[in-house]
Formats: sequence, C-alpha cells, structure tokens
Amino acid sequence: MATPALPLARGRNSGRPRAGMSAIERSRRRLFWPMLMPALILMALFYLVPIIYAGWLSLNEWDGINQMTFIGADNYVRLAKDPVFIGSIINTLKILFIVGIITFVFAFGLTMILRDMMGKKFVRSVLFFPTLINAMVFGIFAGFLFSPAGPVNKLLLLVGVQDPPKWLAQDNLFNMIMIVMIWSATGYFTTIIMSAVDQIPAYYYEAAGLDGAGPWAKFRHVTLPLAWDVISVCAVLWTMSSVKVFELILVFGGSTAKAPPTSTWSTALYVYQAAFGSGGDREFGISAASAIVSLILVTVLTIGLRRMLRREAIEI
Amino acid sequence: MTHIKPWLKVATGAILATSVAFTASGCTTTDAPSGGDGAKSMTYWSMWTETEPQAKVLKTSLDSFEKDTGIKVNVQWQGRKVLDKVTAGLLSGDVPDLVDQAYDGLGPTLAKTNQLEDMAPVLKESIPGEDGKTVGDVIPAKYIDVIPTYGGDVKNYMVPYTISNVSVFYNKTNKIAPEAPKTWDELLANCKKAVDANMACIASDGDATWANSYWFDYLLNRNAGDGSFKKLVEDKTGASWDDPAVLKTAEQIQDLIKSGYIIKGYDASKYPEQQNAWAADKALYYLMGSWAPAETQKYAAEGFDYGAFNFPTTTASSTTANDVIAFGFAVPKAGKHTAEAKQFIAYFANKDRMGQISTVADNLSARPDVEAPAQLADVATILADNPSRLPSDGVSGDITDKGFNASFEQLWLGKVTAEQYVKEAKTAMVAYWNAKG
Repeated sequence: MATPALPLARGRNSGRPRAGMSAIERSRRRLFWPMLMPALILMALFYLVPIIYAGWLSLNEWDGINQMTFIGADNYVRLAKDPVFIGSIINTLKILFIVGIITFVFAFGLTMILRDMMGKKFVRSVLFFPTLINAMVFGIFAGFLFSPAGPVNKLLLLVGVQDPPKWLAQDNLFNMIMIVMIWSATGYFTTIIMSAVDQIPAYYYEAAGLDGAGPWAKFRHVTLPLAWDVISVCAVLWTMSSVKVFELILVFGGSTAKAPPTSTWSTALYVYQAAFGSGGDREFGISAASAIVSLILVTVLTIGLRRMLRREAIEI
Repeated sequence: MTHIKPWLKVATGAILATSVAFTASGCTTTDAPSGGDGAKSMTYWSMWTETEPQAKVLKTSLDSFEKDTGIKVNVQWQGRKVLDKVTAGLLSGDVPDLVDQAYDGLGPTLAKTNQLEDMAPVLKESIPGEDGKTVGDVIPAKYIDVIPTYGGDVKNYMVPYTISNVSVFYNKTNKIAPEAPKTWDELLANCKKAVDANMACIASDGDATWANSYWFDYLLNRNAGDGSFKKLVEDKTGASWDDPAVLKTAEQIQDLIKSGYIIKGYDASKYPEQQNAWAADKALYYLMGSWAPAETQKYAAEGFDYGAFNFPTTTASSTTANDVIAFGFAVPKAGKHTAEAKQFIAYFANKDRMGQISTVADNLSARPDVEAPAQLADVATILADNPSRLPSDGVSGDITDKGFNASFEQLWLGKVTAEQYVKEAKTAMVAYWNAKG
C-alpha cells in the first residue's frame, strides 16, 4: 500500500487538512507546499524570471549599457528578414530531424543486436563512451584528424584512395558536425533504450519466436510497444537538446576567436553571436528575440511530439 | 508535541531557497579596498592572463608604480573577454579604473556608448623619468588618429602600448624569390617562380575567412583607395558593388586561385594547419597579422628567417597604407580612480617600461624608438614608412560575420567566378542591411 499516497498528495488541495483523513495523511498534506516551495522559488528565479525578462528584452533595443528603447515587434521583423536567422532555424531543424532519425535508427538497430549478444554490458559501455567525451574535444581533434595531410587521409592513401574527400571543406562542415552528433548521441540513447528493453521479460520474445516471429517482427510487436514510454521520453529529450546545440558548432567552425561560417549556425549560436559576437556590437534585443523564437520552437515541437507519441501504457 | 505553523515552514523554505539561490549564482563582490585610510589605490582589469609575457611586463611596471607613487594597484588578469566583464560591471557598478584591449574591442563596446574618458589630456602628460617628453611625443599620432570613434563623442579614448599589423610574411632565406615584391605584378611573377619550383605560393586556411579576407580588403584598398572597403560594405543600396574596382579585385583573387598559387588543400583545412605548413617552407607567402612569427616559431623550418613586406600596390597611384592594430589602455568614466589610472598610463609610456613589450614579450611596442624584436624588424620598418589604415577600414559589428563573409568564402574557395561573386555579395549585403532595419 505504498503507491496510492503519491497521486493523492499531488491533488489540487492547498495543504489544508480535511476531516476524515489519517494523521499521516494530514501532515503529509501540510508538508506539501513547504517541500515544494524551494524548488518552485528556484524555478521561478532561474527559469521563469529570465524567460519573462528575455520576452521584455526582445521588444527593446539594448546594447547592454545605455537605456533600453522600446521598439515593439521590430526585432522579430528583423529576424524574419534576416537570411542568416532563417538559415539557422533550418540548420536546427536539420539537427533535430536528420540527426534525430539516424540516431534513433542506429539506437534501435543496436538494441536489437545487443539484446541477445554476448558481453552486451561491455559493448554497451563502449557505445556509451562517446557521450562522456565533451563534443568540443572532437571538434578540436577533427581539425587534426581530417586535415589534408592528416591521419585519416594517410590511412585512405594506404588503402589506395588517391583523392580523399575534402573533409573539412566549407560544404562538408555542417555534415561533419551532424556526424559527430550522431556518433555521440547514439550511445546515449542506445543505453537508455537498452535499459527499458532489459525490463521486458524474455518469455515474450520466446513466445513470439514460437509463433514464428523474426527479429524485425519481435522488435515491432514486442520491443517497440513495451519500451514505448521510454522511447517517447528519449524523443523529447533529443528535441530539447538538439535545439540547444552550440559548443560543437562554435569549436568546429570557428577558428581562433572568430565566428563560425553562417552556413553552420544553429539558433543557439545565433543568440550568442547577437549578444557577444566578435564584432563588438552587442544587440541584446535581437539576441533575446531569437532566444524566444527558439523557445517557442522547442515548445511547439515538444508538445507536438508528445501528442504524436501518446499511447496507452502497456503493463508488463 | 511542538507544532510548526505551515506559514512558518513556507517562510523557512523560501529563505532557504533564496539563500541557496544566491550561493549558486556566485555573487561575489570583488571590491578593492577603497583606501579609506588615505592610501590611494586603483583597479586594473587586464586583457592578458597572468602567465602571458605581456602580463609579466605589466606586472613589473605595476609593482614599480606602486613603489614610486604609493598607489596600490589591484589587478585582475581577466583575459581576452575582459570587455564582456566590464560591460556587465557597468550595470552593477563594479567597474575597473583601467582596462586594456584592441581598438576594435574598446571602440564598439565602450567608446560607442560614451563610457570612456578622453585621453587627449593624457597624451599631453609628461612621462615620468623622461625629461619633458609627453606621451603624445613618443607614440606616433598616426596610430591614434586612425582609430574610429564608432559614433561616440570622444576622439581619443585609448592610448596604445603595443601594435600589431597585417603584412605579407616570407622566409628571407628562400632561394626562389628572396627579393620582396613591391607591386602586384611582381608578386604574381614570384608566385609563378614558386609554382614552377614545385612550391606553393600563398598559404591559407580555408576556414579562416577573417584572414583570407585580408586579401580582398588590401586589394580593394590598393585598387580603389582608402575607405573603399567601408564604403562598399556599408552601402545599404548595394550600388557600390557595381564599381569596376570591385570586380577587378574579385578577378585578381580569382586569378590567384585559378593559377594554383594557393597551397593545395587550403579549401579543406582548419586554421592554423596551413599557417604551420608555410612556416615549414611549404609556401612562399603568408598574409597575416604580426603575431604570425610568434605563433609559427615552433613549426618553422631550419634557418627560417622571418621577413615581411607591405601589401603590394596594384597601380602607380595605389596607396601604401598599412593595417595597424593598436592595443592599449582606456579609462572607464564610471571608475572611481580615473586620475590614478591616467597617471599609470603616462608612467608606463616610459621607454624602459613600454620597451619591455619588445624585449621581454617579443611584441612591437607603440614607441618606434624602441628596437623591435628581430623577427618583427621588417614589420617595424613597414609601420614607420607607410601611412596607417585599419583592417576592413575598421567596420565593426556583424557586417563581416553575417554579411560579407559567406559570399567571400565562395570566391576564395573557388566555387564562384568573380562576376558571380560580385552579384551574390551585392545581394547578400542588401539583405543584411534590409534585416538591420
């Protein structure tokens, strides 16, 4: 009888004790707000207030020093007219969808292979390893690894490739960034999905096998429905993190302290460049407006995704 | 049983939460001792980090300044992002009395918004230890006059103490073309010699557009005169792109690429890959800031003798202006000890003290009467012999990052022809200004 307490305590009451409740129940309710308050205050202070302030800032022109001037929706109009901002939204969506879909396909594939593989714990750790490395490390090393006379091209030369691809050419830059993201995200999501798959009792698979199901049918009819909740959480996690991608692009594309080429900018990078770009101008209004736009973007996408993925939970 | 009232719990929770919040936000007050006991003091936020040689040079002078004047200097080695901290400090009232950075940091960030003191009086101050000489006597006016106001009210808002420039670097001991070219045609002829001898002519890293655009900037300057780059990129109508000098400039760059004068693989390398290749004698020339010798020293071929020449002229009437990048002191108006800060600027201008920028830190000091480090001897000569200009004519903000660079990359990487480039760049710049509103 431990479970029902939680939904009750979450009720709409304000912590006032009601008649007919046990003493424990009453004190639990009394503690509801005091326990919640610190977190709520922190949330308000560090999330809500900045967001509201950013919303206000986005309606102003401000260099960070002098008086703000209210300009209404001008910043948003400017963003709509700015090809660089439009490009950065497209890049963000590319990261979200292209990188996301490939990552999940890999994660599912690996999950299917790993499920009944020997030494899967070890393999899983290996797969998870890239997540532990800061993406920036790869960003910096890529310059060395993929340089025209670098190790990758030397290896290719050994196997007879005379004219290796121009890895770090401007056109490939964003693709390289996406590949690194796939590489580092796959292990992370494989690990999470695997842990959900581990909870599925083996007899479901055995029963499916007896019914003549192959690996794909097993995945579709056993793994996917039973791990669905975890998968949809993963999808939301990915959506939120993809909109925030920043440091990898900055390190990958930017040489010394200069900005990376605009063709690789994500919305997060746009926000940063507007406020602290290398030109010295500070446009906090534009920066806040672009941050608000990406906030709306992630909110809409997350809500949409949640709706799309909503299903009745299946009890194992 | 003691009973704690619910509101009390709420209040306690709130207090706890806010105290956690303040700890988490790391609100630390860095106020220097204000010297209420009569002792004078000032605060200096530096663009250098403590281990850099420039910091050591400044430290020596800060120590002796304290000894000589009794003014205690509280120094914080903030590093290159120092001005972000000053901007934030202006809002909270925590502002240093002295700060340093390059003109293109101080100007757009602080001078534009009228946050800096006028330095004209400091230039008239006499330098301690140098009879009768003023700061303005020893630092050439051309270094100061070239610095733009960025729309601020104060003309002289900084006092330079170290100077960089942009010129073409080469190995003086090279056999292919030991003579430095003076004209564009001579440079092209040398390039041909280099390619014939199986050596690349020009080193460049494809991703370093900020450096590659030096070529365009200088060429346009030689073709169309001083201020032409600024006029070009600040023209909201885009009409300036129709100037034949712009197409000529683009064609000259196209020529370099088509003739194969730029080092192989430049379009797929990450800075400073090809810069190091140049130092290893894989290419003849490298157009770069005067920090290039210090940065490439480790990779330099044996016997590499750093030389430099001013960017060649393209016509008989070409200007010979040379890019000057001044780093220097500025005094925020909001500082509490501005007089002390100015006193230190004059103090540091002394030949022995500023001279250490050359002797200890291996950079060029802002005083031409200080002997330059051997690797920068040519640079010092170029600076002394030619008028001064600014890279990209000193345009600030995101004009280059968001407007100019993307299409220039296409030209530099050989993806578009000169004509296509001029068309695309014009469209891009018009779109940029349209978005600026």
